[in-house]
Amino acid sequence: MKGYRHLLDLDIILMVILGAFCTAFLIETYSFNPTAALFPRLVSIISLILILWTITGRCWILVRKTQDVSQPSEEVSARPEGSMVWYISLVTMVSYYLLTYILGFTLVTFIYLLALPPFLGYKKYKIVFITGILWTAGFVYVFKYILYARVPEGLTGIFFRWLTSRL
Amino acid sequence: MWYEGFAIALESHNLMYLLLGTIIGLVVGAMPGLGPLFGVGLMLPFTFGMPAATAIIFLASVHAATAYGDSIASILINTPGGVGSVASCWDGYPLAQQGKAGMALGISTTSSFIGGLIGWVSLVVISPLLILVALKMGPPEYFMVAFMALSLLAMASAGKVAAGLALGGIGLLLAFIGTDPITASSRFTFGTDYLEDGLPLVPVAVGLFALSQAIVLAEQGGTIAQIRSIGSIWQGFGETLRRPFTIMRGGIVGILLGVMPALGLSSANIVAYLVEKRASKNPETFGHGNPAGLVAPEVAKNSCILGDLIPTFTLGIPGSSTTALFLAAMTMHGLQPGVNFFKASGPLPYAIFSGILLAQITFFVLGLFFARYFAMTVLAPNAFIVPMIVFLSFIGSFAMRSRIEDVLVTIIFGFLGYILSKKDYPAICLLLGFVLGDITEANFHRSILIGRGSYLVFLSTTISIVLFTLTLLALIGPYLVSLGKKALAKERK
Repeated sequence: MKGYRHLLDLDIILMVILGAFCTAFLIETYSFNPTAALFPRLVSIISLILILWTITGRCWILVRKTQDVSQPSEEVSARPEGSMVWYISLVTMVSYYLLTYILGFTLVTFIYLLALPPFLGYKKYKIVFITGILWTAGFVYVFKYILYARVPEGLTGIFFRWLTSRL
Repeated sequence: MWYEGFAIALESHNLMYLLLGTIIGLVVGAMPGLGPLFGVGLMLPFTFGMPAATAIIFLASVHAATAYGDSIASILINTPGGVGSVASCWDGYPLAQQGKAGMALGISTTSSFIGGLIGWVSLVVISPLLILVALKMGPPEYFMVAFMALSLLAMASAGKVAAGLALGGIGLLLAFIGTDPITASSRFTFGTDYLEDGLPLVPVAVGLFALSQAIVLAEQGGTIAQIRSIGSIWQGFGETLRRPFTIMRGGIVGILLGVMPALGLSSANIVAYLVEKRASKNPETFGHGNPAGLVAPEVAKNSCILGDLIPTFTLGIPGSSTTALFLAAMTMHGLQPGVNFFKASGPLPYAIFSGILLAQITFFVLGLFFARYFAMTVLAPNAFIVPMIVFLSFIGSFAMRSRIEDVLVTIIFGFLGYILSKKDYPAICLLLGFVLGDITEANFHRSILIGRGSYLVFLSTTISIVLFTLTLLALIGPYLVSLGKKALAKERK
């Protein structure tokens, strides 16, 4: 059972994913002409060897730890992994990106700046609200009116532009 | 001529633009991902109506201040302000965590200024000599330089050599995405148009270091500074001046990499950091707030951005994308960069060079006075800083090419960077491989073509033999030294 658990070791999973990435690149090189394929093929083979070496080294460490019961395992010494903050951060980032297509960058930024601090435990709502407004207004002013930079306006922005042009 | 040049640069309207450029540069530079290229590119259209000297002085001040401003975010929130200040995070941020953010910013300000001075002196005094060396370098020598930089991967891997090298390999593979430099055929695009131009550097770097840091900070909670203090800016001033050899090493790396086309800002700070770590008697303290680990990349960064200007002014060949914009600005204003730059344009080149020097002084003075206020960031709650980092990272990634897909690339690399940092794998190896991928491959193929298929072309000139020997020494030198020490100790026993 313990040996089975080693397969779920994050280091090994990460290396396997990176190995799969290198393999995909290696396979892809066979569709290129020899000049274009030479260097990527060389690099992907060397990287694969190094990844296999790293996985072997990690397995060796884990096997030795399993055998030596007196030694505390890494899982025990590491920080407790109960926190889902990384998950919230990632989901909110992806949502931020996806909602940009619909609501536009300015509106999503405002919502994001208001929503995330309370999620992360910051309870001074007044400060969050004021800084959210100030940052968004500052951003709009600097990017749109000083730098003349284009920001994604989303479907809502396009709709409002259409609406104002009709009026 | 120099007197006339300084007189022009010191005219009131030039000084006003110098100050304005510095302020704009500081603001743009402090935003994650937005470096000198963005700053200078953004300001270029505003110079159309200006006189030639004013325009170049204004752009020079934006250039210098953006490069310096880049380090502010690197030090305070562990988020590279641009690709040129990635290495500034590694010892700058630990200093900020230790309640020495003020000192770290003091080091950054002083080192950037000294780096700028070194770059300026090189630009004015030794550029003809450097150009002679640069002109003698062909593809085999450039390949050797890139190979030498890649050999630093082993040292950047922080004890996990195989994993670090593998990550470097993956960085190289990512750099191969897009059009092949020799055959011009598409590679690894997997049928998507977006990948035809290759992966953009800024979103990759911002994702790996800024966004991953946002997740780490969100997890940590509290504030960045573990001690509620920011330390003294002036302490940083003293810490920098106490390290003349570090300054020298950083300056040499910056100038050399700056002079060589394509090997610029993105690699200078990383290479300088690794060289300094190798030269240090206490390499184990690097990454834990060693001031030398901040001085070296900062000096290298600012000397590199002026080193970049050397081939631009003297040969008319831009050393980087940013200096290509300078070249455009100069051409637009009727200046002719190249071998006759000094002879044909009267006092104007001297005014421009004086302006470049004044730009260094301006950001130094403003930096020393205002760094303290920037440093307060480390006392703000992480829950408050995280959304700001995410927002600035997104806008930084998007602004460069106005492509929303770049934001997705940032998120993907942010997650990868987070996992790598969580498991203590060196993400920097991936970035170093990515930065050097293009130049390594292109020069490898060009060399083989020159050598008509023979690999001996890489050892056909004195410069490439010297570079190869230095690389070998850098790789096996430490092992030989430690073996020698062990043998000596055995003999003594």
